[in-house]
Amino acid sequence: MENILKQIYESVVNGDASSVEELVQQALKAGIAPEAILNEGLIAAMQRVGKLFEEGEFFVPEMLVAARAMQAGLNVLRPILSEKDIQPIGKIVIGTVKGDLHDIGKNLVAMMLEGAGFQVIDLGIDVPPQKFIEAIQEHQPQIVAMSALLTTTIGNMRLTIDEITKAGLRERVKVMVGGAPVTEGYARQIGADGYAPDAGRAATLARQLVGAEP
Amino acid sequence: MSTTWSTFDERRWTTLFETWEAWWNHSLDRPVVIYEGYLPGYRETHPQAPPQPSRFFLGDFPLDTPPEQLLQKFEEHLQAAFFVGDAFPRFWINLGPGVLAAALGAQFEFFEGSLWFQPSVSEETPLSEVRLEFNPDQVLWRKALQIAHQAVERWGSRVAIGVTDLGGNLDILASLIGPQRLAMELIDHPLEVERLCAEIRSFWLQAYRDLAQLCASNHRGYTCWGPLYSSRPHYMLQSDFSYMISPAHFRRFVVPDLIRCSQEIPNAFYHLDGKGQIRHLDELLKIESIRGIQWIPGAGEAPPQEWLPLLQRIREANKLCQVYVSSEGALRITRELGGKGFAFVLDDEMSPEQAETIVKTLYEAG
Repeated sequence: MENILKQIYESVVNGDASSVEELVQQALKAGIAPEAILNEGLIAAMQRVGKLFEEGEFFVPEMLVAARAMQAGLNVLRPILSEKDIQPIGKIVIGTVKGDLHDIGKNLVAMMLEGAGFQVIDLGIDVPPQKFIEAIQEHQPQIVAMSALLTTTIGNMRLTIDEITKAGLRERVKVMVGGAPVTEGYARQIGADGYAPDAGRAATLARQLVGAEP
Repeated sequence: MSTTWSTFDERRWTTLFETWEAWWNHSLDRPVVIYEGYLPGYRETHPQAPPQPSRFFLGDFPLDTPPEQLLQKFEEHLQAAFFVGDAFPRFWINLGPGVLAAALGAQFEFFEGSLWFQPSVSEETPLSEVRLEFNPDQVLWRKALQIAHQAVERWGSRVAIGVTDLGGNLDILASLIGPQRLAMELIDHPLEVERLCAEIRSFWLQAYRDLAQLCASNHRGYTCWGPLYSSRPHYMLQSDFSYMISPAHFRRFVVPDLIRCSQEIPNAFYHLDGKGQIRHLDELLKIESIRGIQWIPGAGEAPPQEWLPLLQRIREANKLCQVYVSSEGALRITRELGGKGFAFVLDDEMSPEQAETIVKTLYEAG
């Protein structure tokens, strides 16, 4: 059992989607619990990928192919997890703020969050504050994650937080922010609950914000 | 001494030419310093004016605006400008970074002051089936050529005319197939990426030759989207996509392109944009035909004077170095590393007198 989980883990880290898909099916046939495949195979591998990114061993392409491999495994597992009523560790609404059409960083964070066990509702790019508000009302997430890559759009993070507050929803969600021009200090200044400098650390931060990690 | 456009005479151009020539040859014992500003009062009465005339963005106007109207608008700003140090009247065809990508088929739109691309190659099309074709009638490309023609006709040798921003090879490919797909294709189909990079390179070189020849037909030297001046063909090469990739991928997919382009363009520079690109610096410094590095720390990062070890690495590799920096920052770099080999483009707002004083100080500290 350990061997097959290790192989799943390695195949995700190496970005080998077809092996992951096959191995997850094999693992299920071998009677390995889907929770174990998820936690010890897929999620553990994505944590390792995040760490490798932080350490400068992995870059965006390596991360993307690893996330794609993780998705391949997750696609096999998802119906079974749902059948067994195994819940994600939390729900996150994510989007790139209004005026900004960058999506690769946001997509990477979304994939890492999914790889960390979250259900992710991706609102896309150029997301106005109202759309974030509607998504909070509809999906009841624990976290709202915002991305901005331009100095000209970073101000829309504050605007979005202000609008969420005005709508009376701020107490219901934690807000995390990221993107090239964003800093820890800026995040504090606009009243965000957390900032992550990269996708790997965004996943760790999100787990911390929902109490899944110290 | 500060000069306005109307007083920027032939003698001044000759001095400018000689100074920059000496800088490119590493024989100028001081930095070159560029300060371009507006005469007092102009910004107050023209709040829509760009911070400096050379930052005039043609994408702010509808695409069907006749070139003469655009040039007229720019000229209004130019008439209100003054030039200090080694600055010069400069117009570059600022249509955003995707003119070549658009001519190769990328779908684009101007949105909030930037040019944005949507992949034009469908996700289902395998990379092996992607064939690139240059469309000489593409609207952005035609526009760039028309503007260059009319700028030369209108101003003759009174303005140095700069080549538009053509993008880097991977940047162009990213515009065509999407950056996320490109990132994965570097791993999935590296040979196809190499093939497409080589195809893009040949279109790129042809586009550069056509535009550079046209822009320099006023016999006023070469400039581009970067702020430097050169008597010989010059371009600020770039690869913004490299921010996301490993040194091994940079070596494989970008370096061959930079070598080939810089071998053809004698005064080629590289635009090192953001700390994510620092990991490629060693590789860049090894490319003999790249004459210098423009360092842009990136949004949210400390200004250039806080990157002294990096600047020192560039200079110790015998490369020239250009930064956008405050007067105070330029002074600090000059004091710490010496000003020789640097091009400082001062970005604080100053009156002609203040700018002259600071430029003189920088020349003397040089």
